[in-house]
Amino acid sequence: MSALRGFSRRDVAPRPVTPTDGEVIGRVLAGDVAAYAIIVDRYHARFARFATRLLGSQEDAEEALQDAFLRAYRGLGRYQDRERFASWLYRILVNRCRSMQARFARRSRSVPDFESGGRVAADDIRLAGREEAIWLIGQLPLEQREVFLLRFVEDMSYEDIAGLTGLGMSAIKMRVSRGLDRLRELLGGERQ
Amino acid sequence: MTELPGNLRDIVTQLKEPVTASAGFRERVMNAVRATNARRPLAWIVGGLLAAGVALFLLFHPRSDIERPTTFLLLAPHATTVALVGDFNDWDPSATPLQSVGDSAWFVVVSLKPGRYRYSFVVDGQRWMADPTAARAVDHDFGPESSVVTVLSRRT
Repeated sequence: MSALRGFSRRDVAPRPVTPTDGEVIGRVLAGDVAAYAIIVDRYHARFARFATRLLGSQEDAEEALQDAFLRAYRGLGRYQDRERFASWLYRILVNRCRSMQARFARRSRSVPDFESGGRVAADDIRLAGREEAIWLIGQLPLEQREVFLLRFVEDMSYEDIAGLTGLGMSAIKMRVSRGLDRLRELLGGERQ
Repeated sequence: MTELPGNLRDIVTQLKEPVTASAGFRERVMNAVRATNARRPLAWIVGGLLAAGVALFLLFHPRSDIERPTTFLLLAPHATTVALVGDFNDWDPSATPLQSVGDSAWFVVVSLKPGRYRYSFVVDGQRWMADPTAARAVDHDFGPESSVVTVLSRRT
């Protein structure tokens, strides 16, 4: 009992526990559809950033993300590994973004919000600006942009990227390397 | 980040800035989720009806568009060439040559849709003859005698 001396009632009061993805999914599958909002809130910000950077448009990104959330919901009953839900949702989102890009390509539509441009002198680019960063990343082909964002913006390991995209490690590293080369080229050939 | 040169690190830092959800995004997703649930029983009913319809169609439809391999065989021991002519190849002697098997047998397999066809063999490029093992066609309006084959619509 002496060990408990000094603890107030407040100290030992149970704190609210954040449910795991698996627990939330269990609730949803048991009929508590509203619990799915916990999943939406939990992953929206991170995934919206990825999709927005990838597609270059928040509107398109939210369309892809809404579609991904909806497809994940429809597939919840079939998905067994509930604690790896985030990876699964990421995979769905990546595929939705790819489909959306393919649709843009078929319509001969330029990538939204990414103005086309060639080589740019380093002086023309103010690196402090987010718009410039978004413009730069938009100059990469989709396949390079995707792995660049996953690697450096989402801070994923190459192994995780491989699991997510289905690409081999060497292909991922090659795309990252080419993406870096392209960005260096756009920055006027600066190398550090 | 260690792979990145300094100027690209600045870019990545900018790209890591959070993206704020547009107003009502969460509600839009949840509305779509609830709409999925509302449509689910209807989807099962419609899906079930469609599946039943397809099953009935496959069971009773004559499937007239499905071709069936049909074998033609002729014993012609002294022939150098044999061809098949009929309604299915515009009676063209060069369209469907038979292959020889052994010393005297000739055969060819032709894919035919269900139906009734008249046909003949052309031996050595000149001699037209009906199939001695098949029924003769009574409406042989191409002059020489011809035979008739009926391709059934379903497997028996």
